[in-house]
Amino acid sequence: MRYVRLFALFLKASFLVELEYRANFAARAMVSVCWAGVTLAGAGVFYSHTETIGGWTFNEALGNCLPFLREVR
Amino acid sequence: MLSKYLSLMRLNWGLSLEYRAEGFIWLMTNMFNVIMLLVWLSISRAGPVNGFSSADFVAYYMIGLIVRQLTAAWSSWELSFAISEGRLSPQLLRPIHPIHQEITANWSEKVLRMTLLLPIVAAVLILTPGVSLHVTPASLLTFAVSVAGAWTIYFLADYCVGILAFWTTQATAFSNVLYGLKIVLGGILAPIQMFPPAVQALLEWLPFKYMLAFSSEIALGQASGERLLFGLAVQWAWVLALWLLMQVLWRLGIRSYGAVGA
Repeated sequence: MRYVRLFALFLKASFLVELEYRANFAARAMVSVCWAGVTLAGAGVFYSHTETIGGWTFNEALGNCLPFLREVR
Repeated sequence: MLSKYLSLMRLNWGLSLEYRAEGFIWLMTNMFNVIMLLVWLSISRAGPVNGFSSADFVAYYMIGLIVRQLTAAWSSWELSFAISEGRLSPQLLRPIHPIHQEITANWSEKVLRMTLLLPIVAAVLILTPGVSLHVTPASLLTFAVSVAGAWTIYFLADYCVGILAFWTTQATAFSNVLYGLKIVLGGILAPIQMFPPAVQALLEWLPFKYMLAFSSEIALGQASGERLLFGLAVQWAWVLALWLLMQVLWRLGIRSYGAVGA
């Protein structure tokens, strides 16, 4: 229990340190969101040249990580 | 200036050798190039893709590995922490701009990593059947000029990002933005020729292609004549623009330097 409390304390401290540098924090959050977009765009570029990669179609490749996008194409 | 550079080089070469395992581990982070190569090899199994055969993809990504290593820069991290922790103060007292310390640290690390990387790349290029590189005295010279331009563009852009820490105290996340743009638009995720034509036309004018893919295209003989001259002109225009930007940002930023030590 002591370690759980310590862990929570460290987590809070680290989070506050992150928040302290606001512009940096905003940029970091933006990068995280953008990488998700890059993953989709990258798959889009790959599948614009082929139907399947290693036997997987575009929908299957996306569906495995993003089930709600299964019917994109 | 030359003697200052020589002594800084000697100092940083010693540091690179001291932490040589680190150089090897950073080299391993380039696995992304190899993974992208495997994806494109899988796609090109059925036949050439936009003029790229399987052997072309191998050549593109292997030359790309060398260019990526030669043009890598990380001074924004060093500068960002030097500003936030106040370690920049003693550097400002030296009779030489702090950027020269970063330049020589960058170069000496390159020498070390090339000795590890070149044999691997050479072996892959020799053992892969059908690889054709465009090797003439003129192409070697333009390749060298383009790599020098690519290094300068990325180094200066990265240094400008580090200078932002004068205002924001911490700038490491901004350097992730720049790095991400290079990976996606610079020709690592995919060769530029794989993008839709509208994106390709836009990338002709943006700096990212000239941080990486442009040099690989020269080595593969895909950029020649007018295309080559146009590329070199745009690349060195970006070098000049970023150099001016760096000068302006530095002069404005240094006024806000507070050595917060946090």
